[in-house]
Amino acid sequence: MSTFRRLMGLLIASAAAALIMAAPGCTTVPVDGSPGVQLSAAAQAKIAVSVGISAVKGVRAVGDQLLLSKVINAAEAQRIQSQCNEARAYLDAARSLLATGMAVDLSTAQGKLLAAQTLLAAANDFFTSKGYRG
Amino acid sequence: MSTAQNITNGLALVNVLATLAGQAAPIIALLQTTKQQGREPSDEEVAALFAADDQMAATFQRHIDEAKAAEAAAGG
Repeated sequence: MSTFRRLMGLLIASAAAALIMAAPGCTTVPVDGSPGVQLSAAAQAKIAVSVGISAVKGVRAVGDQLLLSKVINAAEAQRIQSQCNEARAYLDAARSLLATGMAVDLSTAQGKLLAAQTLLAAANDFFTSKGYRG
Repeated sequence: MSTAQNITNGLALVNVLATLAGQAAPIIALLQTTKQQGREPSDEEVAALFAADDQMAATFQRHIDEAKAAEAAAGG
């Protein structure tokens, strides 16, 4: 597997892992191997938002590099930017919902996070289609 | 694909890899810190990540607009 694929996969898989940890029914998990340290589902969702926004920024940065290197054209870059903007909107919504601290909003926030992850995966597929494959 | 194109794409990939590594580093560091301390990211840390994306979005859009103008000029 190429380094690109591993790094891109790391960003997206990290977001996915954080989402799974924040899933309903998984209220707490050990985070450092010791039984005494656990995070709430809301805290895990907050981590998922953090990873998600980092992945969005990473996708933008990769798109920027590919545009500057003339591997993709302006229209392709604009599509990536639009996809990132849409993912960002979901992350903004998830962040706002989590800020309310209401349990009912947690599952809604998770839905927003999953939608953002789908968009990021689509961006990853696009980069792969441009030849950056493992 | 020509040798020149291969070299161009190879250089582009090197830049992309460096970019990705740079993008992944801050969030990995943040996750390691929060894991070690058994805490969630603070509101300030999350806000900084969103602000960084704002900055990257603006830079990307500026480069897109410049590329659109260059493509239009080349086509016209």
